[in-house]
Amino acid sequence: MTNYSLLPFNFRLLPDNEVLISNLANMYHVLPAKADLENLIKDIGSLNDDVISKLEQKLFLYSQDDFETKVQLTASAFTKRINKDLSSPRLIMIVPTLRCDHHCSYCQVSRVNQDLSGFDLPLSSIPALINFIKKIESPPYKIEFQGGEPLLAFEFIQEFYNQMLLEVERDDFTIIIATSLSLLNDEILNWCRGKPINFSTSIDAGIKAHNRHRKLITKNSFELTQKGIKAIEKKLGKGKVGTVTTVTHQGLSGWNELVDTHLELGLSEMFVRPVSSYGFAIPKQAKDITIAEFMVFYRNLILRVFEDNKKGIPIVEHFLFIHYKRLMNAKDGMYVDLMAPAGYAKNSVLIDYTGNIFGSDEARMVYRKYGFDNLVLGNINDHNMTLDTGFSEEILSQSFNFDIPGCADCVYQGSCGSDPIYHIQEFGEPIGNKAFSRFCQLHKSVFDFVIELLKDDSNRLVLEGWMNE
Amino acid sequence: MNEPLRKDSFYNESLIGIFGPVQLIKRLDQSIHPLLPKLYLNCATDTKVGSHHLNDANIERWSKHGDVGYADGKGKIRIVLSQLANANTLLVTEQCDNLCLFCSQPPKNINDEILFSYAAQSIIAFNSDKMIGISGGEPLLKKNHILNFFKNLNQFKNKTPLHILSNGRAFKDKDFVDNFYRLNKDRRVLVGVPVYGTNSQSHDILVSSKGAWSETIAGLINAGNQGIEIEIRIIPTQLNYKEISSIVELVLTCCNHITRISIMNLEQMGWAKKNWSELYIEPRYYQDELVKSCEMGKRFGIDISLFNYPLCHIPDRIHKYARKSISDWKNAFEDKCDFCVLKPECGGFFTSIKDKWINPKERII
Repeated sequence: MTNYSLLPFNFRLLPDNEVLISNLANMYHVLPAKADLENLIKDIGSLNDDVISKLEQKLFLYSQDDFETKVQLTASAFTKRINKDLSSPRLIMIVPTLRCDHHCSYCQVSRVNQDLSGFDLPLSSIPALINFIKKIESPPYKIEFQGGEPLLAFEFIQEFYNQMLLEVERDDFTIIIATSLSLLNDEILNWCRGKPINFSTSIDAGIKAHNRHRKLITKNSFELTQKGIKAIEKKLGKGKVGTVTTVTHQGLSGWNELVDTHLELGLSEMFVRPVSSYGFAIPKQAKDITIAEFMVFYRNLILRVFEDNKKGIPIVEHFLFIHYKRLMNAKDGMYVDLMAPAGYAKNSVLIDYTGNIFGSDEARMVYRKYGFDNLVLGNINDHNMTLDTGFSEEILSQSFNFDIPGCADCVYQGSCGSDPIYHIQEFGEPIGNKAFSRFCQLHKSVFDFVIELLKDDSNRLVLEGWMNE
Repeated sequence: MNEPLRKDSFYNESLIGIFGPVQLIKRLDQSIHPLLPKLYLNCATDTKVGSHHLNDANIERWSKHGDVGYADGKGKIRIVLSQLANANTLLVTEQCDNLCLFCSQPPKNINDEILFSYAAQSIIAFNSDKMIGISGGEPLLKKNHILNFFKNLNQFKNKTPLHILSNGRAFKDKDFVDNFYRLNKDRRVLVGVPVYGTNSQSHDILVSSKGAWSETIAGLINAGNQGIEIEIRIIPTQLNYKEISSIVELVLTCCNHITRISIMNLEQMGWAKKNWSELYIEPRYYQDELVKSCEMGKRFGIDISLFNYPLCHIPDRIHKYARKSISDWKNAFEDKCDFCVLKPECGGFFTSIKDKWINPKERII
């Protein structure tokens, strides 16, 4: 009879008395009852052999002979995970204009009217912009145009593309345009054809809610988006447009409608998250929906999506999928919001319409609202181009979640990330109090939900299907 | 079922007295490396020292210009590096610090240092850009031998990619890892390391060496951290078949630079023959483990392959992971297989298989 001892682990009591445990290697195991947790700690021998061997395989237990090796494996898994989050590529976001045709209630950047001047990146700044990109990142470059409404500055995008072609190989960059599609026309589509350009657009939960929040004078934002998606699919082919869904109070009952809308448009992928409370969205939206309310909506949505998958209708919801991939230590489970150390500056960088450089989209939102100068890392028009990374380093050094209060003993620590900019905004410092953190509440809830789904084999097969697609 | 797909050993009494590696030559060719003695086959011979002439239709048929054979001095020659082969492997030592219960090439404790020289000469002369296998025994057992072997290849600017089959224990020594990596900067080297368990118990029993698992794991961590490319090899047996997918998950979660995982059905060679009834387990008893293992490939972004599994022995769902893997000189099919529609995609059987009960009796696809 082998004697087993315990390696360190975190735990969390799940509903219906089960206990989830995890370790630094980010392996997970569900113990069927609270009593099993007590047995695990007090008397390992009382657990049944299958449980013991499973726990040993997942680095929770060791026999005396293997102690050193099991610790080495744990340490190696831990560093491998951190390395993955450290070395993944960087998304480069460009805000060619702050002007916008929409006037969304939850706008985080305080867009300006489309006829105003002084809110655009001048075409003359493109060489400096490309120089900057080449300096901070290696190919393939992933570039996203944000706004404002980037299609109001389409000439900038065209010129950027042409100059980029002269500087790097054609296969070495892709462009995503984040747009409401309201201004999409044939001229734009014809130009995009055959180029590595994709679109990302918004479809909110509930058509009424969409038109109510994403305000156009004509009150037909949703219809225009729908028309735009169809036009892209017709002119450019499938898979060239992705959607992001923001869930607000008015959309809380629209999960079926949301899935139907996607399916009708021939979209098989969606990305759904609650309205976030950054920058200018705070006073209007922060109290709009609670995470608990969102989760009621989200559970219903996911159950519908899973039901469809089981019927053979392939549709993937990426917010859930990312949480699943993080729990599984999957190779491509990188998502800027769910990284530790955080993705800020390391995996994302944003160049504002002023040429100012920020470490993330959220950082520019917070800057625009609070004018927190430390958040500006530099300006592309500054010829010396020395990035002031002192502050970023300070932020990042506080975003390794394994030693953060509230994260260190959390069962999801190895899968979760940290969001220093959000916590700076809410708490005035990058760590914050996790007991009151919306970030913590949201991600913990989604992780809980994934664990719950995995208990049912038919749900597990859906997730594995997404992974093996 | 005993006729292999490619014949590699020949006897001709004119070969008596010729010993060691020779290169087979079928036409005058200035580009052939002068390093090895030449064996001119059915063609005009030059007059250089070490050149031999031979008329042999059989060898002619089973070889190509530039192939390398090892002659035993008694008239026998075995073609070890052939452009006709689907895989070329050189044995560099017969010594080993593991004594695997299913070893197909049981170790001999003899001084066989000459084998490393033969291998280096042969690889340089063959000068191929296709991967050549290096096996043993344990090729990394004598650290200075393998490092010298790399130095010799480098001296001739040879860049042939190598697949080295090793138990990985030598990589426990970080200085060795460092030297190994440095000497192969200009060469692709993939090291195939068998891991038979998630703990020392089953692994150490299967390799008959206490402490082997710990050293292999420490070696894997060191080698992977240094950037040495690694293939993990797993052989399911009665002792470990329940933990196959756990082994896959463990190494892929914990170790770096693993680029592929190979799960290999037991081969009835060497010691596996005498231990067959204690070791072999039919794939149908661990199908779920195979499916689970194969489907971890996408998750971790690496290739997972099944070797030596006839398609009729595994579920349809994982057919796409099965490779036609058995080296052609020991590969064969049953007569019955001629009726199977999947024969062209199937890896078939080892010529060495004698126990009829693992043959395709039940289910011809």
